[in-house]
Amino acid sequence: MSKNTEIVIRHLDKYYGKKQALTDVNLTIHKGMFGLLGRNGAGKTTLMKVLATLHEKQGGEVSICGIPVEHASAIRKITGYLPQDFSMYPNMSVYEAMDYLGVLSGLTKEERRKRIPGLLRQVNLQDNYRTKVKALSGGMKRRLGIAQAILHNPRVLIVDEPTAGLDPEERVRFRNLLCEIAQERIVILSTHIVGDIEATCENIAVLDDGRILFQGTVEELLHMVESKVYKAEISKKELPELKQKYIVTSMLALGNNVMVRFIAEKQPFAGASLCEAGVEDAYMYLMQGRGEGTCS
Amino acid sequence: MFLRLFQKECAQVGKSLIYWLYVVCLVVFFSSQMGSMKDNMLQPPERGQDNYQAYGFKEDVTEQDLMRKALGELAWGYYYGSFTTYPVGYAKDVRLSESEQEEVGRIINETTGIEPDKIEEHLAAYFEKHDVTTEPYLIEPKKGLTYEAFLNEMEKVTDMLGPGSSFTEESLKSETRLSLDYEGAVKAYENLTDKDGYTGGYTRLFCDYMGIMAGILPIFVVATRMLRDRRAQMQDLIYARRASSAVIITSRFAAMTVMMMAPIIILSLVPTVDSMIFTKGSQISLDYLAFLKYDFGWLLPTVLAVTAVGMFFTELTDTALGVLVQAAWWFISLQIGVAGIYGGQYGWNLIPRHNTEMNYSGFKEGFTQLAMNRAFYTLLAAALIAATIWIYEKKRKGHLKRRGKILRNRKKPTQA
Repeated sequence: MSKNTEIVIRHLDKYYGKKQALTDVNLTIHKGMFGLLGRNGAGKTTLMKVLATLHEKQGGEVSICGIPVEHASAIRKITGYLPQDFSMYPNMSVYEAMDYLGVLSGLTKEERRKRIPGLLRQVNLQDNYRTKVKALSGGMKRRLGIAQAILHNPRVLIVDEPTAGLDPEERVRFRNLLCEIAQERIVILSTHIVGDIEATCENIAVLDDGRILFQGTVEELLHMVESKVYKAEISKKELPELKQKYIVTSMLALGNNVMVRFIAEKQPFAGASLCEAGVEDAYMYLMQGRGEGTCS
Repeated sequence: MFLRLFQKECAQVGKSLIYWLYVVCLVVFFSSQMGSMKDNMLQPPERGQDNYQAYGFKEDVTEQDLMRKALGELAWGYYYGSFTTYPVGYAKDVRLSESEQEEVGRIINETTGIEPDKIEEHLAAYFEKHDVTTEPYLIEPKKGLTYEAFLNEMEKVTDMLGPGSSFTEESLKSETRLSLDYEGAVKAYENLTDKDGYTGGYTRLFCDYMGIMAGILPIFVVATRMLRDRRAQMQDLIYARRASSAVIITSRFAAMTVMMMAPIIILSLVPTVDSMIFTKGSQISLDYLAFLKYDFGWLLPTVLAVTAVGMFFTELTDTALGVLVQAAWWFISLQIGVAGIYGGQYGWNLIPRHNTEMNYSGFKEGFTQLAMNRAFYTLLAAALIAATIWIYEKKRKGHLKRRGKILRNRKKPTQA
């Protein structure tokens, strides 16, 4: 097997009927965690599905670890996929579900017997072998989702919006699990939750309306808003005017006043003070179109 | 991978409630229609018996026989003022107008020479000599009446009675069954014991009953299994695995067929064991493997076809449409099958009928047609499964999907 461990996407186009879902997407993804950020409907799931061979592209080239994506059978052998709406047969036990999917992945009985207990331990489901899937909590289900996705030890793991609906504790646990897994393979994490990307990914891409708005490191994204993030306490009456002029990234009500965090190209007014930029600020800046052309 | 997946699929089917409902329906139907027959299996005929109907019917029905039977039936209907027709397979009571009744009376007189007002007398005299509960009413046609002239008159009756009349030549040929005499009964019994290995006849009767159930029940199990992936949102998870579409679909098809056939095979042992018990100590040489030959040769193609129809339509539409299609097909097949219910006329019907342990000669005569019929449904099943694989592969690559996010989110004009 080739030792190539990168995903190369060149001029990728994808249509649903007449609607273009992906337009001239170019990306190179290396080993480790890669975050794909974008609002709902940006085309993240479509891109994930193209990589997982669940959608055919109409134009461009995509190769995973040197294998063109058209070779679906070979690609499925080296990729694991956790879909956005992850679920399994509700009446199957955790072990049965893993065993069934293991068979579909071409694992022998011996391989399944060796790998499944280890994976369930890794995702902290070792006490739930016999628990029916329908009895699992949302977080447990996602962890089972990860376990099934890496059951056949894939070189690429594609994870589509895995933390939606999880409580904060489960979300942190889930992110840590992904980081652990990413040490040996490419993990592509698609999400619209900026916090997930900030906590786990070094390399990211931002997708909007089927186009790549940004590709680079988190640092490069942050660099776009360096010395542009301010905070100020203003009265509630002044808020509409501020919103019109600047990109407001957060607000905190303080009686009749509001503590506002916003982005401005230069010092906006006397009371505003510079503060450290976050990924969310940069993302908002990018999505408002201010960052166009500033990064690769 | 196929075998491992096949085992998993068998286990999935075996754990589903709908499958066990299928088994219960089979057992209940079998028990109510056939059950254990060891206490009333066929004995050799004895001279002087009341009748020999249990041994089958005359094979060489002549034009004269047809005319006698039809004229008797016509006179019977005329006398009681009521005729039974089968417009869509179900019995319909037809009462003629006064002028039509008069016309039927004229036809009876024309074809039998009996005056309409003398029919009651004729009827009474006939059933003084014959058993009204077991024997049909027969009237000799008038001397010199040709078969063509008879058919012309029957055409007029059919025009009055409407669709489903029993007086068309086709109906008369298929429905005229005349009892055997002693010699005929002996020959038929010898066919059962010598040529049919005794078990053959009973297994054919078993196939007749089970064919009715095999023509409809599997569709429910199949549709439920095929829709389970969508209901459990497992489609993408399975699509993304290494197993090929051909392996996934054929393993499911094989598993469902095996699971569906298993209770049928077990039930088919009942007539075999009954035959063994009944003929114990006799000289009859039993065909111990008849149940396997008939299960696989007769019933398996039906199960294959129904399973394939279910898989094809469920995969194509992501709905239980296959159940409706199969229910319609099953209903039509049953109606068509009524005409050849005693075997020998198998045609291309999905559910070939042979509702008797006798009529070996009819079976032999229709065997080539039956073999072609069964081969056709096996090939049809193979073609439908190939089409299902093609659809599955297309859907796996994102085509033919009706429930994608874009369609799901598309607002109707009124919502926009």
